[in-house]
Amino acid sequence: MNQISQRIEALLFTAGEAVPKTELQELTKTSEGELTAALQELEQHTQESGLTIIITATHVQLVTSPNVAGFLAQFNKDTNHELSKAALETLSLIAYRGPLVRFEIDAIRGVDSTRIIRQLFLRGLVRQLRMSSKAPQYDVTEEFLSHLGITTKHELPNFTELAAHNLS
Amino acid sequence: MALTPALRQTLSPIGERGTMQYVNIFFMHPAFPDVKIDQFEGPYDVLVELAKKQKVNLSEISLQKLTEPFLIYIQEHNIPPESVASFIIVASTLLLIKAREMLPQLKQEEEEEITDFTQRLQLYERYRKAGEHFGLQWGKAPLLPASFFAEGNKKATQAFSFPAGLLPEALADALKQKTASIPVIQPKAHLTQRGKSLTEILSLFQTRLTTSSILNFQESIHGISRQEQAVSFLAILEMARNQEVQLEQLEAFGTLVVHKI
Repeated sequence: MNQISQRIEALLFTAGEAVPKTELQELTKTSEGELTAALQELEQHTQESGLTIIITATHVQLVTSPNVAGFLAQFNKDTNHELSKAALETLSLIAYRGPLVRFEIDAIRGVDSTRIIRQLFLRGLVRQLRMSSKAPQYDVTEEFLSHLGITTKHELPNFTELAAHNLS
Repeated sequence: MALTPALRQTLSPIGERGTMQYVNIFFMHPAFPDVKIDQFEGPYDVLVELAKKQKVNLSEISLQKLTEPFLIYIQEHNIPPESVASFIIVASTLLLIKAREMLPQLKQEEEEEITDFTQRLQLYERYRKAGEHFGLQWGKAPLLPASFFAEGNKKATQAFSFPAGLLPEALADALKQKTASIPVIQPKAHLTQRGKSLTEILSLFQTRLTTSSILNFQESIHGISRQEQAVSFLAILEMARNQEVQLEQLEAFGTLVVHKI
């Protein structure tokens, strides 16, 4: 691993939670492209490890790998909070089509989604991104991905097909 | 230390114009444990469920079979005020589809609106199905962060709390300043008087038909508002459907005669 990847791994380890990509760039004094390359290298490096990294549009987090998820599950006594149908379909839209604005979610669900999005916020499953001066966009968080046991959105079933915006 | 959670929380978004930024607002922070997620379903969800029950697909032809069950659902369920409008939109689209089927000359009307509706419904169904998969996988084999098994609840310590020494007066002042800066919006729309409802007009026709067994529709609706005329038309269609009356019209736009059965 190169020096940048090593530093990023160390930062992610000591942070213990998701770190914004912008912050990683600042701390390691790297460009967006350099960060992406370093994350790719780190990801490759962790393939043999019990740890892996979750990457979203804005954040990176060091977590336990899917390889050991079954093993760790036996120690996990945390009660599993179920999600309602409204929550699941809203998450599905945000995960596959995100980042997207609320209007698009409303249009496909056929109903106002303000409340459900807010609740998903409070559970830490979606996050608001803001393209300067435009309506806020929503995307899923690393917490959402970690609950599903995956490290990027691209591992979602039928991702390429359902992420296509001209889908009919 | 730049990476402490407290510092990250207070860190305001920095970035060049046009770059995507992480918006850091305390009430959106993923730090609130056990927030109940609403169980409420939207109108499309109800339609998809009804279609499943009746074993039909979501094409235009099949949708008309769902009009009545959907209207019954609206009557029997207490729909939250913020969602009533979306249920009414769906109900009216379903009625439109049914009306087109009953009156072939309407076939060309609103074609785009209906195609758009059925397409959106099918799109919705695909994401809904994908969401069901999330439900099955949820929390089965989660990837865990560093401190997951650490002593104490990491999340609880991150939850928002008011800064120490904050006076209620300071909060009140801040609120006053904030509300003062919100411009007062003068409503552009104005309310019009509500016309008679379908049920009211229905009973009006029923009363009239107890005294005479035949009615000229055009005469009956003469002089009332356009909205009430439209509702009256729906009322006699409804009566015809219930086989209370028979309708007779010899030519397009000709006199419509209502016969009591």
